[in-house]
Amino acid sequence: MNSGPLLVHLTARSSARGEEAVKTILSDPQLIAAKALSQDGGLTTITFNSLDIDDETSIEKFKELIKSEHPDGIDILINNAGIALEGFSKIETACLQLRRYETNSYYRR
Amino acid sequence: MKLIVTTDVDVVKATLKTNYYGTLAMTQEFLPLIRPKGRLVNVASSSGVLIPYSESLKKALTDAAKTSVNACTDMMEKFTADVQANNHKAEGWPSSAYAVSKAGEIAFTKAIAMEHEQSGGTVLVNVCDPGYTNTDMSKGKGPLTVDEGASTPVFLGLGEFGGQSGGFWKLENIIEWCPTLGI
Repeated sequence: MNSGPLLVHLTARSSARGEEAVKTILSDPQLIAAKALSQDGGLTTITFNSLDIDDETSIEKFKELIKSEHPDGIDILINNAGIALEGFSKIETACLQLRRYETNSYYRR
Repeated sequence: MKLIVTTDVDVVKATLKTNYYGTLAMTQEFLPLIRPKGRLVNVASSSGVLIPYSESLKKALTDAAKTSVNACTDMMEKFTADVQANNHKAEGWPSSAYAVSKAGEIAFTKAIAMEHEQSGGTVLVNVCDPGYTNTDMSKGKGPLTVDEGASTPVFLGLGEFGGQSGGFWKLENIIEWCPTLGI
């Protein structure tokens, strides 16, 4: 894998919230102190692109953008998008139910 | 004020649409764009662990993960149908669309990792439990900070872990998806 510069395409379904997330990262004091970001002379660049994984057209559009910007391919995809609705879906119920089977150290706080 | 009535099956369909079908589409569409020896990481949850399920569903879900993506999708459709028919408890499912969607995400990731490897692919395809993390989605609950929650997916994306694919990970270890079956 490429061990040089890292370009991160951060995605979100809401452009406003995605842009805000990028701003938050770019102004993160620890990242600035570590000079990790290209704005501070580091190797990592973060850019926002809109993507709604519920929408096949949006997935196709993002795929075409990635193919045109990176014709030789990409190195890593992390799928983190997900929803937890109210009602028949409670995330905390599901997680707490499972924590009964785990030791506290499992979480390594 | 608008009154919104959401039935259980509506919650199931909406949750599966994003967490299962959306993540599945992203995995299938983007895997061919990832360079040899690259990484694909799906972020699932400890709530996808096969504990609150009947023994026959545990076997059916783990068998589906060893069979094909279609077999995994069939199990998600069975869950939807069982909730629709109001007999999901008798059928052995937990009462959480989120939990089942994450079990499905773990299942299809294992199936895709297997199919990719069998067709000669070298991308490492893994799925993880980031831990119960304090984010907007968890409404500020969860003991882990965002940085702590990111550590497992970042490790699987960038770390050196010995080339495993199809694993369900937490921190730097492969953990059991179905403890009673040892899988």
